[in-house]
Amino acid sequence: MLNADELFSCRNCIQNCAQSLNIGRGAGFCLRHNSVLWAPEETTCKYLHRKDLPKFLVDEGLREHAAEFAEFSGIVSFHLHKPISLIYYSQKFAWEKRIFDPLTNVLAQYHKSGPAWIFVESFSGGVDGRRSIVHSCLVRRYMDNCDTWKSSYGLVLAFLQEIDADPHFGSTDLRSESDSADEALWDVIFARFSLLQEYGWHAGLEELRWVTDHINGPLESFDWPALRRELGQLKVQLTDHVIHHAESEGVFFDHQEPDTGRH
Amino acid sequence: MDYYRGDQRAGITAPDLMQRCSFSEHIVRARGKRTCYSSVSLDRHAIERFGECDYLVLQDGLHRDNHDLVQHAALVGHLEQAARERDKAERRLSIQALRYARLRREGLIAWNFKLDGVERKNVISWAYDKVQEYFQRC
Repeated sequence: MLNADELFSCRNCIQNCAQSLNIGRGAGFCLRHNSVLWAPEETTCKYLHRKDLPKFLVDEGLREHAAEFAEFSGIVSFHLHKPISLIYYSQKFAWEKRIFDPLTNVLAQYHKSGPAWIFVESFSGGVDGRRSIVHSCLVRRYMDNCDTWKSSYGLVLAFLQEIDADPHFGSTDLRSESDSADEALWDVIFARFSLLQEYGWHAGLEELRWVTDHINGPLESFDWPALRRELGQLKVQLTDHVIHHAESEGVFFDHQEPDTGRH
Repeated sequence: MDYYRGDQRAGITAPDLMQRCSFSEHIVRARGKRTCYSSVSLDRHAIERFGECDYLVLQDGLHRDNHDLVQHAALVGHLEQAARERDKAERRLSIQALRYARLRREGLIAWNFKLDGVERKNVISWAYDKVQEYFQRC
């Protein structure tokens, strides 16, 4: 069951990459605050960046939310408006608390790893639904931190090739045993669309900013098999579009690999 | 059909009657957490603003005072139409709102209060007092 308040919780934030409204059980991990999220549906912060919709479509709501929690520098209890102490991740902590999760464990190494884009790229490929949502969150986060499309087009091109990949979920990947994989699937699909839309926003590409307008019936009828077929065709056009744009701007792989800093 | 809302023990969270927006913007909270609508649900536990206790919507009072209860089926129909016929932001928000409205079995109350003489800064607290009579704890 979806509670509207959860749209503003850590569950629906791209900084908590391995969970969503319907995906991921138990504790999460926030890359922004470098902290375990003990109850991600009950916490938030002023830096919230929603997973379910592109940032430019919900910026008014996000600004209001940021103002509501402006007095807190870190993670906050959503309903109590009280600060939550950061919990630094370690494998020892995870095992002691019996919350070890392989994906969370990898994400917790993010700030210890080398170039961020290599870490992000490592999540491409495969059909695992949780890894897929992690991948889309990391690319969005990278793009948002860089605040430009120029360091992200390579990541987006790679991402585009998987836009029609069929995400698979094991029963423990879902938020609870009673949740359906159907809803988890749509969390992934809309996170993917949001990524392309945010890239379109940064790059000034209307084709991507309103990419959902290129999809007809399957989107409003939530028909994944039909949507998947349309995306399989659309990704070819969108790939050409991204490449031509990068070429016309004179940045298409004409320099070193994107960025070597940490984000 | 009965509609419900989970909310604080102290009372129903006030709408922001000055925050005019579309149904889809309200449902996905694109313009913020409070708008000119109040969300209610056919499912007793689906709409939980803080969720400390459940309230039943008193539909006779809404009808008597000329407020509109947008039934779940009508809301879904409206969002489906917008998802089919609109484009860009309206379409994207409508598709997402359609998904959430179905999950929450959501309906909306569109308040038709006259705000004559109410100072802008007082609208929310004024609305808080006004909307309580349309809900009953259950």
